[in-house]
Amino acid sequence: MNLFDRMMEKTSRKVAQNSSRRNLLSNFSKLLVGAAAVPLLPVARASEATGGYPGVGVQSTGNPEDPGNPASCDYWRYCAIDGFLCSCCGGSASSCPPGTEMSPITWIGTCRNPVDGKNYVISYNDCCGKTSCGRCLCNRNENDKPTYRPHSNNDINWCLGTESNVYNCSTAVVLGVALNN
Amino acid sequence: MSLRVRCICIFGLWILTALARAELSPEPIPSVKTLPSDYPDTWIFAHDANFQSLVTGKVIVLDVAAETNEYKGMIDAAQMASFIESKHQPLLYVAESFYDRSTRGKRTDVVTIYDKSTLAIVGEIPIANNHRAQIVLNKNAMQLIDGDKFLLVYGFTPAQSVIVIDTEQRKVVNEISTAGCAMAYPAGKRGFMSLCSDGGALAIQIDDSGKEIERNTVASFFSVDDDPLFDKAVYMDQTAYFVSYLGRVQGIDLSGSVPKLLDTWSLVSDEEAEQNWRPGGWQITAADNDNNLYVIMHENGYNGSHKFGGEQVWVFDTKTQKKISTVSLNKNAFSIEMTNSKQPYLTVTNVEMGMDIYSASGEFLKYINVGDAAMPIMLHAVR
Repeated sequence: MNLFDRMMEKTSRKVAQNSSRRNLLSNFSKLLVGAAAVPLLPVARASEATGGYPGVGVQSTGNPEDPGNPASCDYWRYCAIDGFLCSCCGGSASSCPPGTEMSPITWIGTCRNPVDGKNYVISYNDCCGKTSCGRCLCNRNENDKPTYRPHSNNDINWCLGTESNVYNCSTAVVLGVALNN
Repeated sequence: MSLRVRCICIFGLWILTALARAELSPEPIPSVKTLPSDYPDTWIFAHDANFQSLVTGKVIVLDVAAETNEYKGMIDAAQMASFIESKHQPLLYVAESFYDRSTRGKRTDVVTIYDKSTLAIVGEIPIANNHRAQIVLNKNAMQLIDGDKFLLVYGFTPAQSVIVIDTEQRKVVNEISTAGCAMAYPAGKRGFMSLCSDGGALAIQIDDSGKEIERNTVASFFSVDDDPLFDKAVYMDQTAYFVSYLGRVQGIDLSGSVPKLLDTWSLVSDEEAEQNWRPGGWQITAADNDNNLYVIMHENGYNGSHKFGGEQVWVFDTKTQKKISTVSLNKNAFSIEMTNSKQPYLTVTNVEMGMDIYSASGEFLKYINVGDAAMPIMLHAVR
């Protein structure tokens, strides 16, 4: 789904808020080994910089063509996600947790896979029918558009067409390579 | 003083002290407070979306000027609810959704009506087809028009519509398709505008029974791909001001049935644009009663930074279209609102989800905790 912003992980927020912005950028830039000097907002990508969430086990897809930690907000497929990561909630980047129902309709984003450099169309299907998972809240908004363009908006509860509209967590399913790659 | 007189004095003091320490009187049970039906203009409504459990959000009533007892009470607002205060009657409206087994079972959409004085429920209007949009809080997902006679509720199934509710009859009287267009921005004598996915707009007027009587479209006037307008607006009189991701301001005169586009202008100078100063956050703009526009701004913006808040609030005179002040915030702002008081307060939901109160000139006054886990991302000044 598409919850949206607040916070990331609590401690990250506190760090962000208790630091001056320039200090924060400076410190993050030290962590971002090899990364471009991307200007970071305090809350924006805190969990990206740290590579995951405290108390959440690191995961791997096991596929070198699909790199990164799916239990981290900086995993490449999550470039426009907004919600609790299903990977942290008993599901995976492409599967819902047990007992929930995957929304059949949703919105899509386009994310670049850092390994093959290709842009992939990602479907952010919500998992529905249980209360908010509450773990690994992640909000990234690359190419996110306002609600008047729903198929490119992550603020809508996409638990539509499901038995219950109650939102649990969000997946990021690869649909294929973007045509205009 | 003789010993006898001293004894009498000491005894007298003891009596007085004892009287002063009289036992507490029994207190009545039950005891429930009430509020005035006409709220002071320093009060605001802070809508807590409660993402950790969306089925139970709430709207908190706060006095941002109070030295004590700033938290006045709250009402429920379930499942990405919408909220609005009536201007003409002492009522509050919440459009919300329920499931008969909390997170599952039959869905029921309703508009719940609260009395402002008691914060008790005084009515309920069913939205029988459950088409109410469940979206992260947006003021324009529910609006009152025509002297509060009609309540407009945005619908999304994902078919888009605006549900028209007669507040006197307390029933849904119409549902108007807005295919391709979203939200309801009050417009004209009795109607609304929606923004559309092609960068245009749709404007609808209704009659006194809620029936659609006029429909106008505005051809695309902004690029959704390159520089979309945020879907949040602030009104000054009947002109709605929208800002874009890159800091363009689009005023739209909504006094008539056909929206009139005003000339655009920019929040940022060429130099500031180079530094990628951009608007960002959730409720990114606010207005005072002197036609000043307040905008949350952040430096070093990039594709995707538009919802992360900002370290400054910039204030613009919309008449001269010039920046008149800059507020450097203690903590980055996520949402802002101005009270309608003579001395307006800049109320800020910071990115930690606490509330910081500033004077209109930017002096930090105080911090208000609105709940340890609250997420008050939408602020409504008392109208």
